[in-house]
Amino acid sequence: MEIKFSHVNSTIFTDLSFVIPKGEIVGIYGENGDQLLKLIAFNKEVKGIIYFNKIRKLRRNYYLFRNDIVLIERNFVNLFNFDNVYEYFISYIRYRKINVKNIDKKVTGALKIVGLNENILERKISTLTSSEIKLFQFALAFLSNPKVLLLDEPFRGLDLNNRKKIVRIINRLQDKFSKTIIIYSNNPNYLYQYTNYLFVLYKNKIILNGKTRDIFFDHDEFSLYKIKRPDIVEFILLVKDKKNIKLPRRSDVKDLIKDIYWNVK
Amino acid sequence: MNVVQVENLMIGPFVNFNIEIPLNSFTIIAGSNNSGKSLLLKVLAGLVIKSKVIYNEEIIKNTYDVALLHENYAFNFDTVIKNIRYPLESLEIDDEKITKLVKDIVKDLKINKILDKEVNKLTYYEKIKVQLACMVVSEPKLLLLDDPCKYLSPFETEEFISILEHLRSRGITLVMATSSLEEIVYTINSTLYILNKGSIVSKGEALEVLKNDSLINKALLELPFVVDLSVKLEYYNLISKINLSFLGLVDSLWK
Repeated sequence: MEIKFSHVNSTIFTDLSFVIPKGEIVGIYGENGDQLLKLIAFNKEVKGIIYFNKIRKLRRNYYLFRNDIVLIERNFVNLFNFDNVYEYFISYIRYRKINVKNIDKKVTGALKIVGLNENILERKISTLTSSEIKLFQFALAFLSNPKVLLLDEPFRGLDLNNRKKIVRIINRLQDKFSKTIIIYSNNPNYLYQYTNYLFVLYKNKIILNGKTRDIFFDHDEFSLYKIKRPDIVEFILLVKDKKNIKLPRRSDVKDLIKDIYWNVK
Repeated sequence: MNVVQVENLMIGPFVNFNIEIPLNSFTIIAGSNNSGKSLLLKVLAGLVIKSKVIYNEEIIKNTYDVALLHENYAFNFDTVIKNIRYPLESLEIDDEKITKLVKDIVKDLKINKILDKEVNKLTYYEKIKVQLACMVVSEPKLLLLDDPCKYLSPFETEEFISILEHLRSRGITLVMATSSLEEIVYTINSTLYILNKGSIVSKGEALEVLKNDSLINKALLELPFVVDLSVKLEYYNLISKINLSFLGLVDSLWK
């Protein structure tokens, strides 16, 4: 789903215009990026022209996109006073007005996608660990089969296995089902590794957008505005700057070490 | 001298678990998800099984000498200054002394510009700092932090750790649980514990522990980029000793 914002105003942003490409993993980097995410998810009041799939969004046709966009918050907030996981699933389906014939089948299907065991349904939310809560949030999001998935700091607080699990889910969604995934993170290392299109915000304006790798390597704005680059990019650029040696643009440490090895030997 | 020690802990993933926290140390507990970091902090705070936790009674005299900064901290009042003053006001300290203590803390935590702001208009990082200020004004002896740097950017993490180091110099013993190892690069002279499924797989001086990268990967953790790179370069004999600055690394590689 292509998302187009033109001349949009909100309490934080003024005159914001951008196009989010279809079927890509898009990253948002910089100050107030999480506010931009909430703007796209309609959690904030906005004025301006917004197109979803070339249909203009108006107040009266909100129901068209209601279940197409889901925001996964960084912290889980219990919306209803239910502590039981199964009860929470059912009340979530009612709350989002999702049309489901067989609730049990839908819930187990969502759990299967994220790789959670079915006996989680009998547990209490307050006893889940942080990684289980994250996967539970993903399972809730998949109930409405969204076309756009907005993720606010999805990789934080997860160990390698769980992060790989989530990355695999995201990549499969983009690859097989061509969904648009938008990730906000203030850690550039994650964005460099996992996204292929990037928006950079500075003082509530979009200053850069384009392919992630090119953005981080080719633009001077980062050192100018004191925005941190990914560690590996910083290292490669420093080598070029100080020693005038051009290392290939790598994203993995192991590849980088091979390059250094051939260069130093 | 230990501030607190835990003996023969048997709860959740822990079986016959022992840990000692020395006075004025900075202990970092790192581990994968479900390894029991948060539970251990709750045990150390005396919230779960009190009988297994032994506090040093010379140092910890009151219950409020132990403070736990956790994720779901909620503010009682709307402005920042009211929230920071509240713990002292309830201790019946006179007004002038409170003003002095608050001024001191606020300067240390670099939050003097946001004192009159409303709490729900703060950014995430400012909120964490205000929470920390609320904890620290009453001068606890043992401060437990449950993954405070989880959502912080690299610059913010660096500043936050330097604040913690400053608090340590005021005589507070720190214990921090973390799910990533990024913070450790900024700490000075800290002790690192690696937890895996309720048992300590490695402990010691932070850098020494990080050098064993296969063990870290087995515990499902990821080394910070600088450490990862220099450990691997040292393994291939490209540099002679571990270097944590980019410039130093580059200079020792291409002489």
